[in-house]
Amino acid sequence: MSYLTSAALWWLLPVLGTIIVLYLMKMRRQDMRVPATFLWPKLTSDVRANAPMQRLRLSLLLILQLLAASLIVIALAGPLHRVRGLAGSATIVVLDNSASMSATDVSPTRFGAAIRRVDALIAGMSGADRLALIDVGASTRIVFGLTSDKPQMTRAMRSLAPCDAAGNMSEALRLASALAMNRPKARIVVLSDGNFPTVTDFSLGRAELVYESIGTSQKNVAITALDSSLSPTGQVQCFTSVHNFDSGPMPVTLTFKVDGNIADAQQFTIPAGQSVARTFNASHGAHKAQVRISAPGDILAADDQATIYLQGSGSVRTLLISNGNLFIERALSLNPAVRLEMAGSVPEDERLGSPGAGAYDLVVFDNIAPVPVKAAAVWSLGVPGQQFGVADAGMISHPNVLDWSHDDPVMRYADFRSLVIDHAHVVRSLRGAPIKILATSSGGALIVSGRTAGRRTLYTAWNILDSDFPLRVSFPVFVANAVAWLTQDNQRASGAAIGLMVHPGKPFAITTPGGSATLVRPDDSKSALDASTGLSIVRGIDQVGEYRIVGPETNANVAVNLLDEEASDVRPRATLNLASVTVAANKSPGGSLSEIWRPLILVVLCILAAEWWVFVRRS
Amino acid sequence: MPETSKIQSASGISVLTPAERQRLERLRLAPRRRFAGRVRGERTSRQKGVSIEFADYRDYAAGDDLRSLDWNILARLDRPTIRTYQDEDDLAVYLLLDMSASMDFGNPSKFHAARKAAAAVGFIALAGQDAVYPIAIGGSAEGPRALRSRASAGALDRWAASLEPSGSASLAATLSHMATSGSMRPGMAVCITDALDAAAPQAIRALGARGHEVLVIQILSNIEIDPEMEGDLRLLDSETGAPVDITANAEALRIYKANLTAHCQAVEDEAGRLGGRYIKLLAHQPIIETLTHELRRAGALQR
Repeated sequence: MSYLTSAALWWLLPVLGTIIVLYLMKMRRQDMRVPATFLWPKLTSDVRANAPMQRLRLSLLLILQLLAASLIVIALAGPLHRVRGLAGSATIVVLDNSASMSATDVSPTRFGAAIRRVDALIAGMSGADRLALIDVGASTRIVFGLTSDKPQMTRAMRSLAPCDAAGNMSEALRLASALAMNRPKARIVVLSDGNFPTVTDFSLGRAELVYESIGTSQKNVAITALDSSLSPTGQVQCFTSVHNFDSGPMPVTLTFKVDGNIADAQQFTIPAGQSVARTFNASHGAHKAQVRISAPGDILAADDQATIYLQGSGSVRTLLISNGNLFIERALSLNPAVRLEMAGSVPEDERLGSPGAGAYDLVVFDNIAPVPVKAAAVWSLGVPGQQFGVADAGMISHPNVLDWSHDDPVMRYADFRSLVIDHAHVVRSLRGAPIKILATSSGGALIVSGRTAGRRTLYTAWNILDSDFPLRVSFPVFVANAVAWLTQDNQRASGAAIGLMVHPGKPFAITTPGGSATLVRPDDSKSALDASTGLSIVRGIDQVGEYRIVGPETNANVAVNLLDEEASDVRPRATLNLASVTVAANKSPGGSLSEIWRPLILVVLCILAAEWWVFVRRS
Repeated sequence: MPETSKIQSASGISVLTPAERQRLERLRLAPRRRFAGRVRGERTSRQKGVSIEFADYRDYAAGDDLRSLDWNILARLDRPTIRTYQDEDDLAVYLLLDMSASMDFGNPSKFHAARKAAAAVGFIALAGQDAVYPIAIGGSAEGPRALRSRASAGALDRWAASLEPSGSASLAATLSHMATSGSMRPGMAVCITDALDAAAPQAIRALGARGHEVLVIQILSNIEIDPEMEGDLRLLDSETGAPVDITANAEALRIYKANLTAHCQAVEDEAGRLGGRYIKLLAHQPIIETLTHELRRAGALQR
């Protein structure tokens, strides 16, 4: 217990001392002559004292008076009691529901513990308290707004389910701040392990922020990467990376399955904080590859398994229009999915036509002005064109890549940091153009993808020969990503089962001809998709696993893998960095300081009533 | 000599009014037992065949049998004198009036009521030709040795009127001493007291052990029946001065009342065990009426 003014407790000494001194005084009794005294009982109770001195005798009145005086002094000192309930008029609970909250270092899981904490907060609410709950999962949603209706809260809590998606804590905190606005003594309680990116655009206002850290361990080994490619020998190569997030070495058993059959198994130890990469071969024609790891004491299961659907071989007919570029030619030819042809210009019969009507699936313009083609996918390096939905922003020298979309399929696993570019033909987006800027510099967009008129386009703003990009590991990765994305529609049109790999919580679009489609979850539960427009937006895939999308003309396998180093780093954070504020974790969760002088005064009144009753009864 | 002058006290105030005397003169004490008389009286003797024998002279009192008048003395001295004989027993009635300081409580005081009760009982006894021995317990005033006939009513009245409660002697000790002194022939011992002495039952037992028929007239006042006191007090015993510290709360009063009831009951039980009688009077009540009523109810008066 703490006090607002603990110095007031010094008053205990004089107050209690005075009472005791009064009890040390003897009673001066009034003399009264009576006929006889033998009938009177020697029944005395010293309730008054007015003459010195006598030996202190313990009496109920003395105890009650000392107790009452002590409580009054303590009440004046402003005692503060840590309560599990609420201490503000409005409390907004921000519940982290990201993948790391499924860690089992806290029973049953961090998410389960957070739910229990919310239940306790609800149970501890008094009449004037208001509580709101924000679930930060695949999407940020208000489970229930500020209310004191406990049954409503309990009902709403039933809709909460663990999620493997990365939450948007920044959005949630802004929402919480808005709810707390203009409410005195508002509190924002963040129930989380702190495993989310630093929140920069957030203002706490007058609200108090309490961070209750959930989690005790960082013992986790995770699959952080999984990809496949065709080797020149026709075999499918799968690449995987396993990272140890623990502070000590972890023994790991890795199992590689192809189409459900174990193809390889390895045991190795990963040093603390290190990654181990492994490559496995699958036979040509294999459909699905799975990687599973097991490590003793691993607390997060969502990142212990990953699935990839293997691509077909040589199915992408590609025309490279170039004046000679060994690097792009080599990168394309090494892609097992690509059947490469090269030319100095676009043949006449491949120009101007509906998408997909030509002989090629993909036309790549290497530092040559692009012209309209029949191919369904066009990639230009260094020279922009109107079909890319961009406007020429001019040439700039030595641009730096300021930012890029890490999650975009084109940019996945590619690193553009410290990329040296001599000069680039940057662009800007045309208003309303269906494009996406994947990388930007200070002068304009450097990489732009687009989907226009049934055609996929990609523009890279520099000649790769004018940069050190071809010398980087990221270059073949980027080229492979670009080819895979540009020709994705082509693969679907082939009629074979489409294999997709997505992150949990990320909505995606899939063509669903036939007017209907159904999402089949790993537990075989089904939900219908809106396929009325021939394109379905798939949302709500929040947990890792293998999903299927089936319909009259749709057959797609969706592997939902975590593959997220940030999500797998389950180390509970001791502090939260929010804009300019750093909030330390509350070490005694469930605590908020509440003044308790009111109940103390009530107790004092009861004691005084009892003291008065005893006094009257004795006198 | 006018009758009224005989019943005047020394201070000129009569203890009994003429009306009260008139009311009492037809009453007679009714002892449960018969006692051997010393002089001729109106009560049948237990001793058979005893011849008439002169015993003594005494002053004539109104109502005396004129046959016992000694005409010779009347002729010589012009003073009516009665001759008494031993062939009819008289009853020795000992009027034991408590003079202790505890009697001086109440408004009116218990002693005022006790004095009147003593005068009344004595007058009844004298009217019945019984021998009355007035004894002030714990008092210094020496009373008349024996009173007989109505003529002694004035002396009895003067004796009663002359007493003031001041004694510090214990009621029990005095009664015990009297009982064991051997100078008292058996008779009716009328003890008029508040009996507020822890040893009162023992003293009454000692009195009864000497062959006396005991009549206890306990007189209490309101301050004893329902004391009005509160707070922290030091009670001082009116006779011994012994202090008792009390907190006069409900509990203390409850215990006191219970003790008083038990003590009175013990006194009554002791009197009953000795074949005697016990009546209780309250000082503020009309004494003569209450006394006669209670005596009649207790069977202490002839019907």
